[in-house]
Amino acid sequence: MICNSFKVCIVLLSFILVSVPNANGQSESNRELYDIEGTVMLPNLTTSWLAETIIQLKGGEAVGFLRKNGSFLISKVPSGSYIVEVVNPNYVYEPIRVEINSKGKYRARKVNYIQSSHVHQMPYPLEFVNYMPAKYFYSREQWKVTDFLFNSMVLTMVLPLLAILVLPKLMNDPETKKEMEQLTNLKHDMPEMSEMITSFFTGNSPTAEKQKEKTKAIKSSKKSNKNN
Amino acid sequence: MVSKIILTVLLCSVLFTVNGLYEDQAGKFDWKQNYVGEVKFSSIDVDVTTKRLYVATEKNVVASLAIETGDIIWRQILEKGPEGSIELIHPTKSKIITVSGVDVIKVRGWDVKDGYLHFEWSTETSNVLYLFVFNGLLHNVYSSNNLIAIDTYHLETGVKGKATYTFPAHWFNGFDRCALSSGSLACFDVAGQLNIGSLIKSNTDRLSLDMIGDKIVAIPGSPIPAFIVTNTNVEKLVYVKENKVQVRSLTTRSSSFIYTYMADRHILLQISSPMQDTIVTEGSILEDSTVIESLSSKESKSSLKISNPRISSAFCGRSKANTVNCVTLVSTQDQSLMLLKMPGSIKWHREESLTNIINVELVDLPVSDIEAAIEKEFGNKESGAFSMFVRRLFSQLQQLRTLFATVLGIIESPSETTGTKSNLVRDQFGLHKIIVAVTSAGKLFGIDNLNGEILWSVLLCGVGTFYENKVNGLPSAPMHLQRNSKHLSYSPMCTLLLKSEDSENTVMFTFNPINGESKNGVTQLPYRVVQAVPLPVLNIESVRSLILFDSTNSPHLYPANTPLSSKPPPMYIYIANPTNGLLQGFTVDVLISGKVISAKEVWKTQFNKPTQIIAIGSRDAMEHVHSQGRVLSDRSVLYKYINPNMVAILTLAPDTTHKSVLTLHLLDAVSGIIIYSVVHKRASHPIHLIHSENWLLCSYYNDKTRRTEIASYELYDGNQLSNSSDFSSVGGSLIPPIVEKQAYILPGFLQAMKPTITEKGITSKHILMATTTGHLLEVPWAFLDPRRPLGEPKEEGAIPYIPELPMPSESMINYNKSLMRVDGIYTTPSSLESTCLVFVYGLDLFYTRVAPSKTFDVLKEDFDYLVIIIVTTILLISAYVTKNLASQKALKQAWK
Amino acid sequence: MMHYKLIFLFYSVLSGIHCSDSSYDSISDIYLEHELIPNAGFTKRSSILVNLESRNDVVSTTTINDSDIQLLKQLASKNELYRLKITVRTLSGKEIHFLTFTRACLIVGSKLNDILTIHLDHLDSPFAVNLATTSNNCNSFNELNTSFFTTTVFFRRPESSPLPDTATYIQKMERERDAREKGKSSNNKSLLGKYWMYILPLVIFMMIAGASNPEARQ
Repeated sequence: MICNSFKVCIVLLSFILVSVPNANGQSESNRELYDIEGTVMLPNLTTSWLAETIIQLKGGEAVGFLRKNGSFLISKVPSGSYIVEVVNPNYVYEPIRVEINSKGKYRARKVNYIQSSHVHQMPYPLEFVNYMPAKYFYSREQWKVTDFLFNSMVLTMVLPLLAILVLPKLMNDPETKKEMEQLTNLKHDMPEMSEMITSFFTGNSPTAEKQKEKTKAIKSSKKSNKNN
Repeated sequence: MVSKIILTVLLCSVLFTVNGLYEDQAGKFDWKQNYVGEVKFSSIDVDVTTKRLYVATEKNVVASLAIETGDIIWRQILEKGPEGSIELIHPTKSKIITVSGVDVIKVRGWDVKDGYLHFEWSTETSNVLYLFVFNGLLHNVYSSNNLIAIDTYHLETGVKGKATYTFPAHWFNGFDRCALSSGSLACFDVAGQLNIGSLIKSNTDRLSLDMIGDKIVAIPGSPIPAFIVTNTNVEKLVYVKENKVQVRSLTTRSSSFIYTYMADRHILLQISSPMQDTIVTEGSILEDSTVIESLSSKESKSSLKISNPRISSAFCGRSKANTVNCVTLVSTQDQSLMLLKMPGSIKWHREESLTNIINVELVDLPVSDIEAAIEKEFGNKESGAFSMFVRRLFSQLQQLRTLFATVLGIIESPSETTGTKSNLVRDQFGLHKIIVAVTSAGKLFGIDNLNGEILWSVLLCGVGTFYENKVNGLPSAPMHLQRNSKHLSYSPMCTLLLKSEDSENTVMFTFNPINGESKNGVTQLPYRVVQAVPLPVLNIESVRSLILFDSTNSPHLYPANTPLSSKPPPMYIYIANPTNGLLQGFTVDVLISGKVISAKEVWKTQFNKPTQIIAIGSRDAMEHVHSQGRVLSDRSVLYKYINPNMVAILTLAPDTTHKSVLTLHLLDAVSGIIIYSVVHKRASHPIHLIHSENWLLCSYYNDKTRRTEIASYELYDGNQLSNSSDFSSVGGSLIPPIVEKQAYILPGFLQAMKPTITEKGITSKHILMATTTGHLLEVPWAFLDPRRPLGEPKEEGAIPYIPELPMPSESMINYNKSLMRVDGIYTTPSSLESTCLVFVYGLDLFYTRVAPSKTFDVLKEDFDYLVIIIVTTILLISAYVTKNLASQKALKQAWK
Repeated sequence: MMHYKLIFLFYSVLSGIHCSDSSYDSISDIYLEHELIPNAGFTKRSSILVNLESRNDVVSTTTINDSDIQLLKQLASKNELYRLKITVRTLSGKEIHFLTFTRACLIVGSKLNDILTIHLDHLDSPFAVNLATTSNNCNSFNELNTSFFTTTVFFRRPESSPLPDTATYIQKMERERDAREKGKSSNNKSLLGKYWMYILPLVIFMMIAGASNPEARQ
């Protein structure tokens, strides 16, 4: 595999070395002219598509047009290296580089502007097979309720709001109320964490004591409510 | 709170969307007009099912137009330049065949209905004299070995016909002495005889006629050999019928056309335009000069501006009333195309000269009458307090009246209709302007930029022609907006520099860009202007005077002898001669009285012989640089080198080892100091140059690497701001600025390139590139920045270096409206800082506007008014309801 | 400061020099003429011999007579322009004329020290000559006590254009690819191994909470 591509490189290098001076010499004396042929796969072979699509050689130095079967011909070009592009307003095709040496040998390869020595051979006559519709437009952001709701900003604001609104409602339910009471109790206990830990470590299980404390706490909280 | 959330959501969406178009924006603020170019050959197909016209044009376009409307049905663009120039067209039943090219003749057959290719063949030839089609055979008449040889090819297959046959060389003696019509060659010989010989078969004799003439032209598309011979302003029609030469005198100077009518009768159609707005037609039987009354007409239309009409093709028939009717396709010298019904009128009219725009300017519209009244009111300061008060009341009354009138629908609101005269007023955001275009056909146009409608046109025939740019061979038309629309008491004024029709001297043509009117606006100058520079100050009539440099390097002021409003600083002017590479700098002193003291040459630079100056890039005069520097990652500032006098000069020189060498020189046009020079080896056309702010872009085709490269240069002063208070080029230091450089690969080929420009220069810059594939690409400058880091980013927000520029289809702002054969891009700021107006010209016209940093100063058009209204009403209602509820609750609480 | 800048300039000039082709028509000498009375024509100032092959900068001094100094002072006091006409002669006898200028007060202010920069194109033939002075001082032109013009001649050649840096980019891409491959292998570490620093505090917190909760329930 590696060996193979290496060979190709060497062949190409020697090809360039040979072809460049020849091409120069030929342009002055009588130059041989060659035709470039190929086919283009069209999304649909309607005739308006055929008329809309043109084949450009080196940015329009020569042009080719599509016939009914999708084939094209760029006639009478001197030897050299050319980029062949398929131009269609709605579809994008990958361009292909065609090299015609002075002896009239054709070679088609993938266009690689960055690594020009890298050769990825393509079939000749050219086949423009890969196409994709050009995406010229961005899609508008649709305003969706879900998008809005799951926005992090909204979530951070709505969730506490929910907690504030829903939790008091839950309080009305007697069972949950009890639970809540326990919870608030716990909250009240929180400052006494150290006490709790010490009691935990001392090994006593002061449940009865705790119970008393709880009722006290509830009473005091009720009182405070009334004061409010 | 909810509204706050919505606002933040909206803000987020504004900040994080990418650049480009949305589908619903297509066609909203852009328009495209398709053209075909000046018609060379045409043919009318009156088949009921098709009803088409086929045209081949000077722009190497073959197209089909609808007879009824003139709309393009299909269009094919052949090769650029002489390789694709169409030499003849030949319609057959299902195909339209074009023959194009010079050394390589390409014959292509197009489908009449859809315009796709049926067949193509080509052949190499040389020394071609004429090409014509006879009997389904393409005849190639060429000179070889002192003979006139003729090859025949089967038109559709390219199979070579019977052997080449020849004629003696003396049959042809120059294109100005000969003409070919319908296979017959007519030539004047030295003895004062006109010889006509048929080239269709070999061994034919020539018919001779005693006739002297200055000029001979063939009647295009004539079914029989027919020629117009001009001899000292007397025109004669010479035609061959039944192997006999007939001569008929023509009474009026007009364009003629011959149409076969009935078996052996021919109709001679003639058309002329004695005035710009009048068309006169005549019809007669060719053989016996019987005038056909139904074909004689005279039509005047004030909106019509044409010169030298010519019948390109015609079709005649007999109507029910037994009169002869004709449909003719008329092309004019000013490159317009129209369909003329005889008898009858002009059915449609196309301005094809718009394919040859050589200079364009977008001019602000004047303010509306109401605003003008307000401006006037505050402008007048001398009057007393009482009179000012009265005027105030009066104008307010007037405003109230117009408001009521608008509300009641008496006057249409200005935004609804565009194009009519009363609505040519400046809008709030400066988006509505008028496109003033100069075409090489000598026709000026005023085009509404919002819908592309032609508002006015002016013919320059009789005024002047254009000078030719010696480097690219194109006509040049310098245009200066001498007075803009902001001066209320004066109308705007635009000046065009033209070449006199009968000498090398210059003609100044002054016109009002809003309506095209020109009141004694033609000034013949007794010298040739080589450089025209606007003064930095206005004269007392609010006109920006021009310093005109004539060919002897003496300066003149135009308009002359009008006092200036203030004394201008000493002016420095440079003159470049592109062909011999000479650059000269002058200093000119202009007195406040409007007189010019003679210029003094202060610097001279001479490029070596084969070097040609191919482009001079100066910054747009309207450009502002908002930011003076760039903040680096270490919080230090890199100051930009902004020299207002710097121009970029591109020179191209042929070279033995490198084929051609492209050099970019940065020159201080005041001091003549070369700031920087850089050499691009093996660079060839297409070459484009952009100079903006403190950076330059130069695109060229690299013959060595066989790809388009864009070299990017950026100039910096360093970490200290030098020359901070006021910049002076004279006596400035020789310390060169720091030049950052980098090159990028463009995966394509460029047709034109231009930076965007905005009013204050705060908005980031984008580059508009028209590629040969028909796309208009909007590339942010950040992608072409030479400081794009290869490794670690040097500053915030820098995009890492990638040699190949991306060409995402989302940034193609003309979407599927392909723009082929673009000649140039024009950009101008609007009053909105975010928005830049773009006009692309070439074979097609395209107008759009771009917002490089998004429209941050106006609500986007997709702004959801409904949501904001709903949310606020809900909030209001809920606030009200909860207020009530709360008070009820408080009441209940109080009762407890 | 000025001095430092000059050195900088000098280096930038030197760095711009490439190996020169020997076949070109080399510059042999430079002939200078200046204008001391506005619009009165040019008079000879000096002639400088140049040998491009051996050295790249030339310093030359010429005497100037007293009357010319007086004229120069007058020119400076009137804030006029000092124009200099340069004729560059090549070895084959070709003459190329250039014109350059500066403010006369700068010439006097810099005590007749000036710098001539000759711009050469890619074939080493001159296309522009620029004049500058060693000082930006335009005030002290009365205390001119020298009668020597000290001229430094610099030669500047164009830089060569940037080329798309494909090699570095390809290297970078390869490095990145390698890094990605490496990263893939390191990715195989367990989730726990990668995010232990986040998981550990969470676990500790939960442990504490879990330890306290059953206590509260009871």
